[in-house]
Amino acid sequence: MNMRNIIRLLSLGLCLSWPVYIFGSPEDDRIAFQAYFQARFPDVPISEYVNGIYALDENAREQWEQIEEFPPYEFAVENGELLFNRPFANGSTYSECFDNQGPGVRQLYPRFDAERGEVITLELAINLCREVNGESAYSYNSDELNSLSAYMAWTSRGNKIDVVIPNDPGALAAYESGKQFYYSKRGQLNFACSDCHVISAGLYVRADHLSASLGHPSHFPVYRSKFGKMISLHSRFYGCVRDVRAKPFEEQSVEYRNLEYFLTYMSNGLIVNGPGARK
Amino acid sequence: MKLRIFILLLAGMSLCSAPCRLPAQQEISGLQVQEEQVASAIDAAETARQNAAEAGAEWLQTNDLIRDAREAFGNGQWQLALSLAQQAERQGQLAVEQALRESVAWRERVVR
Ligand code: HEC
Repeated sequence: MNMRNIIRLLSLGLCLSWPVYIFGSPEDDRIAFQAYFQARFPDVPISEYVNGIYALDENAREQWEQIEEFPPYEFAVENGELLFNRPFANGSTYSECFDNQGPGVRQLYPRFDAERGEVITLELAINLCREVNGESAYSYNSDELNSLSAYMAWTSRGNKIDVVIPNDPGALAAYESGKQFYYSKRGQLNFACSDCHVISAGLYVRADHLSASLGHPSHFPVYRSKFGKMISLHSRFYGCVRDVRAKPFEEQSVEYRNLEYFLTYMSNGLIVNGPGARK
Repeated sequence: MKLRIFILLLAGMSLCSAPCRLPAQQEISGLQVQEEQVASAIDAAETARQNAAEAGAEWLQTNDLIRDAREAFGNGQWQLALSLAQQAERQGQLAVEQALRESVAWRERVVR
């Protein structure tokens, strides 16, 4: 028996012994998640969390608002629009792969594809669309993919995040595995995402002021001034996993897609406000 | 005359000490550590790393430690290679323990 099976067996054993744990539905989880931050920061309206750390940090917020006056992601949105409308070699376009022909659908991702039995993120959907049309997939941290995703976020601004977890065992399993990933300590530093972005939200680790996970997926892709370029949500996952000294997973790995599924569901009801700008 | 020879000898020894001592020490360590011992420590480290990876819990530097251990082994630095391989093996074991612990413990952290 390999290690992964031992671990599965162990968690299964626990589910059976403490049935109360498996009865928390995704919707119960979401309500509790949002209520936690509401109780913790009563002065911060839930709708503010789409602004990440700037929801909790007055001083940093002023600087950020100045940056937003001349948004550094504008070029990506423009480039994304060009790419989006350029026909593939076979004559068809991205619009044929998406609801509403593409614009304004960011809030529906990630979604569970019952046929494929896996979580499809917006970035993966873009690449699947390319492949189906005989084009090669973009690398996940390419400017092209981040631009397309920036354009699709931009055209969805103001739409309420509406991730659906259908009553399908595969979808529930994906959600649960994302949830487990989120709450599990990992790496040499032995930290879970929740250690920093729930328990320590609003506090400092060294010079960094920690944001709440609530609202995290609302504003990606993000222009990082530190790198001078657009980055994806999974690139942030990669960085945070690496920072706790765990070996990071690849962007668009099953692990990160399931994590995104869980995390975005937690933000259901908040609005899309991507692309964003961060230090 | 005797003094001069003595001084020359001293100077020679101190000049030589850095470069001459290193290989001698390595030889000593080579005697202390058996070649097979190092090779099997590296194998054990790689197995431990793979177990951790399979549990989805590999740590950041384990693979680098193993790579460095292999390199040191290739350069004949057996003592160093052994110590790196043992660190890597320990990391792999700790990561597996962490994964086993977390397969249960994560539930207590869920916000509810
Ligand atoms: C040791 C603390 C720590 C841990 C653990 C950690 N992060 Fe972070 N994370 C940070 C810091 C610091 C930042 C940058 C400041 C901020 O926005 O919170 C950040 C930023 C982020 C952002 C970008 C926020 C934004 O508004 O753009 C996301 C998304 C994120 N983390 C997700 C995660 C996930 C998912 C995990 C678990 C795999 C995780 N983090 C674990 C410290 C941590």
